[in-house]
Amino acid sequence: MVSNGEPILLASDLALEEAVIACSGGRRLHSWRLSPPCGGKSGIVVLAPGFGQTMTHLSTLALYLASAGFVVYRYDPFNHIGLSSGSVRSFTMSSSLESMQIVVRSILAQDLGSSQIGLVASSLAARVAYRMVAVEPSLSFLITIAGVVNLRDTLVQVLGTDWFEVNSKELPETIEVEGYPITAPPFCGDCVSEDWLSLESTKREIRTMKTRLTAFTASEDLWVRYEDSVEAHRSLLHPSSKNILLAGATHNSSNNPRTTRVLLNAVTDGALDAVAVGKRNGGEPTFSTIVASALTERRLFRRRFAEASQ
Amino acid sequence: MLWYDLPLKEQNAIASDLARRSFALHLEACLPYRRYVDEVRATVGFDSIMEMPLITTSAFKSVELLSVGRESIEKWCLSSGTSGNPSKVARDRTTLSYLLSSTKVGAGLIGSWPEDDAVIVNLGSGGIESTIWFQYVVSLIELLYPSYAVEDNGSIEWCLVESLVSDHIGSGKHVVMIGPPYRVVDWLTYIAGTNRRMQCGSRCTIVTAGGWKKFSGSQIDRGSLTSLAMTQLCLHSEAQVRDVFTQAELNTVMFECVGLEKHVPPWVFVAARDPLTLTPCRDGELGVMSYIDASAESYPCLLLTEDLGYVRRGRCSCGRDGVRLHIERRLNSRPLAGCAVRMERHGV
Repeated sequence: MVSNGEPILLASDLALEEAVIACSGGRRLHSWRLSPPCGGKSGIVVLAPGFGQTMTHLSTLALYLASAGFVVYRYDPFNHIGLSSGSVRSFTMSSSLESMQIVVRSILAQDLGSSQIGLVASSLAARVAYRMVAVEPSLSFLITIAGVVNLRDTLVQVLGTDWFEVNSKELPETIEVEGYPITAPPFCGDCVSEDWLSLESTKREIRTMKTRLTAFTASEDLWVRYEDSVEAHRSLLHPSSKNILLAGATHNSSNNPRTTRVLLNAVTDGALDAVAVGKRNGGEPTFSTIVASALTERRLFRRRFAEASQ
Repeated sequence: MLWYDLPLKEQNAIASDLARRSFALHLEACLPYRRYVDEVRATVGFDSIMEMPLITTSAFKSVELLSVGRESIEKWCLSSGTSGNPSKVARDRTTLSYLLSSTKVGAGLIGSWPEDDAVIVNLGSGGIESTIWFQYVVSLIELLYPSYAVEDNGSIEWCLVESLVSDHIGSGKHVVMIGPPYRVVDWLTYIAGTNRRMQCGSRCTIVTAGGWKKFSGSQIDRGSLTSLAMTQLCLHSEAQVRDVFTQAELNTVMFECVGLEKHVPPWVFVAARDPLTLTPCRDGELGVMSYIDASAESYPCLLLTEDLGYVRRGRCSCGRDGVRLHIERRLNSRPLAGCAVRMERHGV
């Protein structure tokens, strides 16, 4: 991971640093590191963006966690929207897993002392995180938000069609997920060949997971069935793992400020609890701090995006 | 599904339910409002939403209206009135968050471009630290699109704005210019003075936001502004000139659709009322505008304004079902000041 320039000071004295990981085939994976002035005495958290999100969409959660003493890493996956290499047209679940593994392993390769590392992933990224954490015992905790556990069913809800029922030759060239066109044959092929689709495959991975897991399930989620989430998280190995129901929440809680705030606090407290730091010293970031930080990050992202497009 | 895609019946049901909840919330939480309501209840009583006691906008100039503890207030927003004391409106985190998320969604009525395909040219000073309501709201739009605030110390270098607009249009971007009507007129007058028209075509949208009255007191004519914009910027359609409405005491921005109608989201219960009896006007009938905005939790937003306008319900020419408002002009007199006086009496 190569640092890319001087840190930018955000509101509340948090420092934002950019980094680029040079990967095989000349690909570049962009990440941001947000650190509190004390240097991150609570530990390290990696935030994985859901499908259709970039690092900037995780601005508020990063701010909450950094304000609670965590060093927070975010990244834009390969073959996705954002700053990293590859177009979203080439998105596959396995390319998403590769990006997550590269980021986590590059952090683990640093001298971290006794710092604990956790992963927070939402929606589709959560499905990827279940597989990642199942084989990566160095992570101390995983927090999922509206995590996809039955990919085939979620895709049917999102797309309105079960493309895994049809012959692969009958697949359309692209399928549109949340407004983004994905080339259908490689995406669907990867889902089948790498066993991403079924609830059973997620259950198998969760059953082998020794890491502490906190899953937040939205009660009004139209894309992830509540009963599937309960079923997937039934056999949790770690004694402190739990599946928490967010009453009234939808798959994308950002549409409801009240639910968002509950979630931001719950995730932050969950992360602190997982690293046994306990209660937060400071309070929540103020609205002005959140907006100011989001604007600074947005400007930086736009600048980098424009540079990359030239 | 977004609120403006809901059928009218559903929007009406949501608006009524939220108005009742909002009334109950502020009756419980805002002492000056409770005292005021108690006094009104003793004399007239009220059963329906239309009978809920309203607060005149002028009351916000003299009474501190809070429904949460002072320590929860994150921003005091000021009106940008041209005379007298400004209104002071207290907003907490939740209220500001509702404003932000509703503005993001409502802006979709103006247009929707990929983030890197559009730029905002703010004909103001910008800055989220601003306490002036309109400036603050416009500055939040930078979260959606890259923005340039072009006013510096109260003045604008129009030649720089011209280069900015022309460069972005030349690079294939859509330019959205936002500003108060008088600023937009200044901009168009500048272009007219250069004797060269800008070839914006379909790549520019003008959004007016703020009062149509000049400091001199004269009214800016919207038709003339649109016509000037069409000519000087060579726009393809009059629908590229839109207006938005809000005021410091409201917590919601009403955006115009392609049919040039301001759609009212269902968390705002809007009614035009007879100026003397305050009974509801019929659809399309001119009256004093009133709002119950349930997205305001830190202060009672049950407003009786000084604007004359009307409300329309049903299918809009843009194809959406819903409630729309039209503001005609400010009231010439202050027949409603009595409520403010009563509020003031209970405010201390």
